Amino acid sequence: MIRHRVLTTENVPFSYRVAGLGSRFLAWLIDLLLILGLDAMGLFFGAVLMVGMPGLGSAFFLLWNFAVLWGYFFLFEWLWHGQTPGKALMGIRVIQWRGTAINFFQAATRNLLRIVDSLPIPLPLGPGLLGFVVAACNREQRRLGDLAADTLVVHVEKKSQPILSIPDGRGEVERQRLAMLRQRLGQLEREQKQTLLDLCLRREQLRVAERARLFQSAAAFCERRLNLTPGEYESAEKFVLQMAAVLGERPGPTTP
Amino acid sequence: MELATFLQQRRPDWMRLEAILLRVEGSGLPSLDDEQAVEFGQLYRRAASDLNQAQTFVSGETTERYLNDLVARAYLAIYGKTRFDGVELLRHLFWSYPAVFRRYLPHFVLATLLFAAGTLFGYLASWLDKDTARAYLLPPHSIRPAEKGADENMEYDTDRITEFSSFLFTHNVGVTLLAFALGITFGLGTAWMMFYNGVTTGALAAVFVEAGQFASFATGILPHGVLEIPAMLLGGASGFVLAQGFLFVKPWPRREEMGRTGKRAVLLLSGCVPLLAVAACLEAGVARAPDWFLDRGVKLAVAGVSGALFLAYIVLLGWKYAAERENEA
Repeated sequence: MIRHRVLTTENVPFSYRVAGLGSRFLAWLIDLLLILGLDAMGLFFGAVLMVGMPGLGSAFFLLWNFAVLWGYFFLFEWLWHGQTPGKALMGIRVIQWRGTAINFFQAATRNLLRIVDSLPIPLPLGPGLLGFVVAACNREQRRLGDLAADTLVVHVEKKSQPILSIPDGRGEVERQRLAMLRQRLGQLEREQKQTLLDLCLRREQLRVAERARLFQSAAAFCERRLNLTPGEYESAEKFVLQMAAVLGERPGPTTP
Repeated sequence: MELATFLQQRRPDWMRLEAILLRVEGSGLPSLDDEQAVEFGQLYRRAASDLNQAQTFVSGETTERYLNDLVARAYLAIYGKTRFDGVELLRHLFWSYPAVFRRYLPHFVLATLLFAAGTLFGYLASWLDKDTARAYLLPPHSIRPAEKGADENMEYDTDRITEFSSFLFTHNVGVTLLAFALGITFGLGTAWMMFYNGVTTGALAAVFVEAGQFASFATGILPHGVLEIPAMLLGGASGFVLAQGFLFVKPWPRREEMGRTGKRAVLLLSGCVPLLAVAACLEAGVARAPDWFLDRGVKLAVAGVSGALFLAYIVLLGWKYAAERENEA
């Protein structure tokens, strides 16, 4: 997964998940279907008008078709904060490089260049082979239109899973054992510490059976690797939570 | 701070931020009252600083990712919407356009030179090798030297004008936009389109001159050409502006420069849409009108007036507006 790092105006770094070519292609397919539908509508109304006034009917269709082909992506991305219906369905969005919404000019640039991105067949609907190759060749998967407009497509983060807090069980532990826990846990690698913490933070999101099994194996790992044993009448989960509480301490001088 | 305490203390604020976010994402920032808006800002700033803290000590990927997504959502909710004011945008475009045009005069001149070179080439080619040139170089949908009597039988009513003008408008805007977009091929595609458009125009002129109908060529081209050709050249000029962003080294990253030139190029390009709309109406309604309907003098007068109006707009307007913008920036 590729992440695009952004600095907020408060100088805090955070990152967006860059949308891959797969989800972008699916979004484009949805948009294409809608465009064809809109075009069919134009054809219908044009045909109705054509009964009375053939010139007016075909003029209407020509203008309508033109507006849909060139305007669909541009208008939606401009007015609908970087999303077209297809993009909204796929949960992706166009943003500026520095992380905020795109403006009128960026929406225009990025979508006018579709006709070049769609080469070798120049269609304002794009992107075709050229855009695909260009996007596949750079880290943030930007096509030519994105390069010229200084934009990229990212995933919109949905409502996130709530995280739990870790109960501080350290009060129940003797000082001696606490010191030992600290020392032994220090031997773990960063990824191992992370995994233990993640397990504890996300424990509510697991089904009961999986939860029990995962805590069992985590406890077993700690017993084997760190030579620690859970206290009497202590469940595997409680044992691991206790260790997570110790792990969550800030490195450096620790409070007794 | 220890993770347990950190989570314990900060979690209520994150939950609150999530609740407000859900509302904002659903019905927008205006749905918050004053108090909530202030709270939203505070909660966002605190979450950002929590994220900063979470990144500095072992807090578990989950905490970091959770806070990251929370901050990303809030960031887009706060900085994510551009205000839409169509009237203001049109006003801005109208007043700033002449200044933009003047600023990119060199690009326009370059497009014009390429077009002129193409015209010369097309004219000479058509003169030297008539049949080949006619087979390949004449523009589609253009006027042809009239045969005797054709003029009287021509279909000419408002219904046909409507159809023909909208065809011309969409076709010409499409070509112009393509000329702009091809700027990204380092300007080569744009240059070729400028040259090629010149070639077809030159070849057409040669055909008319040979038939001894230069006057009808002038009256058939000029009424709309005085606007259509500049509009096409504008497409080329904005393509060159785009290419410039790619081609030349600046003290800042090329990525930034491209973003900037993209905006300027679109600004320059935007002028071609109204120009081509008027030109299409003039072409269908005036230039192609049979001579018994509109006198040639009237056609030339239309050409002169529309050309003069366009020139006056570009030369006279927008000085004060541009100066004000310059001071602001």
